[in-house]
Amino acid sequence: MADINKAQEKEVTVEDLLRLKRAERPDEAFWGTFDRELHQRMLQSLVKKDPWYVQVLRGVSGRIAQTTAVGAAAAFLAAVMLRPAYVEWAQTGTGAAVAQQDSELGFDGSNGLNGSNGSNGSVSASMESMGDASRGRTERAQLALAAAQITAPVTEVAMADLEVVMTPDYQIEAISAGVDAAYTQDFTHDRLQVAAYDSAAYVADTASFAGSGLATGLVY
Amino acid sequence: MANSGSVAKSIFNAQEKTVSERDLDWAVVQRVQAGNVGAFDQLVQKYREHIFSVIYNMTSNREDASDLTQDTFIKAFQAIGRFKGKSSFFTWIYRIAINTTMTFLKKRNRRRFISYEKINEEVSSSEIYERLTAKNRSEKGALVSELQEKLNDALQKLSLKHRTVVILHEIEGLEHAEIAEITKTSVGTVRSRLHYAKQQLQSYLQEYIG
Repeated sequence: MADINKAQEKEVTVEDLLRLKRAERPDEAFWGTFDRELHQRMLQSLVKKDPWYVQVLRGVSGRIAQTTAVGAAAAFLAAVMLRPAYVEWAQTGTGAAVAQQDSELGFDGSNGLNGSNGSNGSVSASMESMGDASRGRTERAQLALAAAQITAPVTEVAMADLEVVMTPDYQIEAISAGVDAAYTQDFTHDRLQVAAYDSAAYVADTASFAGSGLATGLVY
Repeated sequence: MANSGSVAKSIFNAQEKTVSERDLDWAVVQRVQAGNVGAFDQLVQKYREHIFSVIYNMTSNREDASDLTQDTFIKAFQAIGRFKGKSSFFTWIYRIAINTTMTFLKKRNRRRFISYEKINEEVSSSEIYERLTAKNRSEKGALVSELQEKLNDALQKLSLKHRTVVILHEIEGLEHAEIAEITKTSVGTVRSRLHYAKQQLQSYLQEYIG
């Protein structure tokens, strides 16, 4: 009786009540079923194929990665091979002359062949005639066309000069089979392997080996 | 002074125990990673009841809890190759369990199906039940089932964040720091959530408290 009164005196807290939740535990039979089901599901997860959309996604992402890699390699090669030639071309001053001329004519640079040191006189003459602000747009277009025609023959001379100045510092190796070109074939196979096997003792995983008694392969 | 010394000693022992547990788990994980798939069973046996308890108290449904506990272990099994041991396996598996349960509960939304576990008879004859029976002057069997329902209801009224912290601390007995690591929050956040959650529970369970 005294114990009951003593128990009544003690206050029940939230913590006490929550601790009662620890008693809500499953029995042993539950764990037996649980283990069995879990093992089955784990085995299924080991052999289960990914859903079709995951497979597609993986394929696509693989293609994208390949394309990106090839593109990046091509861009890198282009930069390595073309940049020295461009730098040398720019150093001759030709590029600067072209840029100046284009800006004077109001061209956007699409006819890039019309620039050279020798063309400056004729171009400036035409530019002077273009200086008059009172002329209409059509007239100015005609003048620009005339300027382009005048500079065309001069361009050929300039290109000839360029040939002297520009010395290519790279070579492109052309490899083509069947032509007597000056290259050595360094990718021939070292030997031809021929192996016979006993079909009774050999378990073929692939269809290619299934029907033949002779297996061949090139070893590199 | 002697008391503070014994407390410090017990904390030290607890830390030492945790470190050795962590090492033991890590050794098993490494065996699984090396290809000994059967070793994963040791981890399942060790943690299944804790994981089930957390999920059961979060869902208040024993069937869902069973499925989600299995899901947790399957996810852990599939991802164990990527487990680097930066945190303990215990923290890692708890985190998987809580994330899995939260995703499930968010999807389930408002639909609630409740199925309770049986309460251990030893506990139903505990001091707290004696006190409650005496206080409410009710029959013990009825009180046990009534309180179970009320407790689960009260927990379900809490938000997922608050429920998680209360379950991990008050039912599972985890430290604030451990909960912070599992939930990826600060210890301060854990304490504040716990305080708020207890206040809420106190108001829901007023008739049993005091």
